[in-house]
Amino acid sequence: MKFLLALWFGKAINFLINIIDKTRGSNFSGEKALLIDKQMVAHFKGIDPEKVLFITGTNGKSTSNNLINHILKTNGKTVISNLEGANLLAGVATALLKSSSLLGRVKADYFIFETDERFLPIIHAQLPAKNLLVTNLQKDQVQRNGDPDFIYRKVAPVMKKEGMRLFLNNEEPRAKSFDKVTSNVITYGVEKHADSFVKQEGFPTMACPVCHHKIVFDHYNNDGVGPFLCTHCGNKSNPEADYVVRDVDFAGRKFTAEGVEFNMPYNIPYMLYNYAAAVAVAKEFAGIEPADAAKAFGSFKNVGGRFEILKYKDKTIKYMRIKQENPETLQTCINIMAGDKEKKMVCLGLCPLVDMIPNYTNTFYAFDCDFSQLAAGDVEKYFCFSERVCYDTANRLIYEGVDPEKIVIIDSEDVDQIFAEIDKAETDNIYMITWLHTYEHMQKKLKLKEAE
Amino acid sequence: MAEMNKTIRAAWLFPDILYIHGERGNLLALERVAKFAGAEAVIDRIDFNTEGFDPMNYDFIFCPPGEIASFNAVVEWLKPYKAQFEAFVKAGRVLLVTGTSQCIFGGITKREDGSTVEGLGLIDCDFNERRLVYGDDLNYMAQFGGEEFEIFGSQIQMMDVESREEPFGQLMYGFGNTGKDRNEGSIKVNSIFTNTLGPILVLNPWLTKKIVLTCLKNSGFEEEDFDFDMSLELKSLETKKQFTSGKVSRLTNCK
Repeated sequence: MKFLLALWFGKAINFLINIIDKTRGSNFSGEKALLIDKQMVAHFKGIDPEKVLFITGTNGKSTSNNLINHILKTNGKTVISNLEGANLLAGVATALLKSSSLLGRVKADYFIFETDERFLPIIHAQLPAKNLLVTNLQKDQVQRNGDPDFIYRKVAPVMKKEGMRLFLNNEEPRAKSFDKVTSNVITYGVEKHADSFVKQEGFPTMACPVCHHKIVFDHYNNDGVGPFLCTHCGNKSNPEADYVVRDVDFAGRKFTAEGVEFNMPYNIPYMLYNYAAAVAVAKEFAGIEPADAAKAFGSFKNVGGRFEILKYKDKTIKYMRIKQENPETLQTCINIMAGDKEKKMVCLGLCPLVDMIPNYTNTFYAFDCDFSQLAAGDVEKYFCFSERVCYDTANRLIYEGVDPEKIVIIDSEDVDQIFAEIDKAETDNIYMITWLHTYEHMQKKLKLKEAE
Repeated sequence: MAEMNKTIRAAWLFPDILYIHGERGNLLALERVAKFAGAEAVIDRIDFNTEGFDPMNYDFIFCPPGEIASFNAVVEWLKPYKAQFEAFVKAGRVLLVTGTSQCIFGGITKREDGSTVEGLGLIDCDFNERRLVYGDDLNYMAQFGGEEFEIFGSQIQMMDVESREEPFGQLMYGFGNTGKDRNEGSIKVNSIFTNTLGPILVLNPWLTKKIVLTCLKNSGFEEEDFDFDMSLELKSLETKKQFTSGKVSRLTNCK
């Protein structure tokens, strides 16, 4: 009875939210319904755990979830999912109650949920998925996650659950190490490509998750991800993953996997592992052959706000979103900018962390990143903006050998000031890294100007 | 002694094992400030494969923070050098240990799962791993080499520090060792054990300068003052202090 009350209460909330704004409400109704029935997710009827996939990891959860959903739906499968990125228990509850009958029965071919790493054990306790895709476990949100081992210890018990099938990134040492806890593993990986890189000597690698000695990477396909070997215990990536993205052609926007040519909807290196994972999951979890999966790639549109283009006067602003406190996503953006040999302006809006109390001013993750290729490239000027940490950002560049004369610093996120500084650039090739909300303010401002 | 021969010999302990929070910046800061002093910092990476390690061969040893899971392996490797580390500290040389790696040089670390890590016992400190991480800014006055310095940094606290050593700093804002008093870190002669990330030597070049001078003095060079532009770091300090003074916090230890 408690479940039905929670369900109906949640549905009533959804009804009201739909009247106000249909695009909202990915979390709220589930959050409120869980106040009535804390075990609500466990009480939905009609879910076969064999048909449930969780997607967890530091980076790439939302993209993988959206792409896998797209492939399955294009191939005629019905899926219940949390595509809006609400990846805590309330987000899963919301997705289920939106799709359920008045008695709490859900009907779909597959259930695919992005799950926050820290909440994976809590969600799994109520919804015992038998399939789990791990993208990577890296430094992220250190204010709440501390270090990767803190998260590793949180998620490890779920990996060991009986009957669990794991989809593991072959080239990320922590994710790959879970193949030691079960034999039911499918690995995915990426062949070396034109944007694979090595870091300058002096950059630390990481400790082996098995024996805590040194991991050596042959090269990186993404920061912290590439063929690896522990110099002590021999823990290593498989010479070849079960599913491999090969023949990566960024210019031609295509790659191959399982002998099939795929369109590359976004020719960005960090998405290659999402592509590999999606091909593996489509085949092994949903029985969709790579050739059929390939048909969906051409029409895939990712969740917004990762990499956007903004036209401003005669300039093109290429916006890249990073996860604050996350060196891997920052490194990826640095590599993209460094890979562009044209003259450019680089706008860096690293910000204080304001997503929980206390807010704080962490910028140390920038020292995990190698700016040398960018600094050696054709950069007209660097623009360090954002309140409080703009000076540290500028200092990081100076430590990389950037001429201080090339650096403009503004202790502000005011979009007028940002546009004014962009106006001063001779180049029309503008790269911008900052929070999504600052970018959205810029977008809004331009739309208002256009309307005038 | 000719100025060009000024050298600071630095050891960077386990850079690939104790690798979190961008702490390589501390070595970059040491190199940079040493250069302003007309000296060269020569940095050796010390890891499990290093042969013939002797702490007394160095003027400066840096131990960055790592995952506590790695500490047993690191402590086992360092144990044979405990006496040399004690001599290093006693001689007034500079050991900088940041974040979780204080556990390596302290007593017992009680882990959340009930297991323990036994450190080298160089400092009279014990540690309790926290169930929840605490991340925040950190602002305090520190004593080093007979001078007082204002320090700003970040703290990602994975453990509470029960220190019976002299504190390195007195907090103006931040969690420090336990979040219950104003004590931040520990100091023993010129060896610093601190919760401050940042990296501390990048954000606080005034401390780095004093460390460089101390290292050079310990190597027998005359103490010659030197200047360099710290305006960027000063602006950073000022704006962050404003930020800290106005922010919402649940800490009560500095009120």
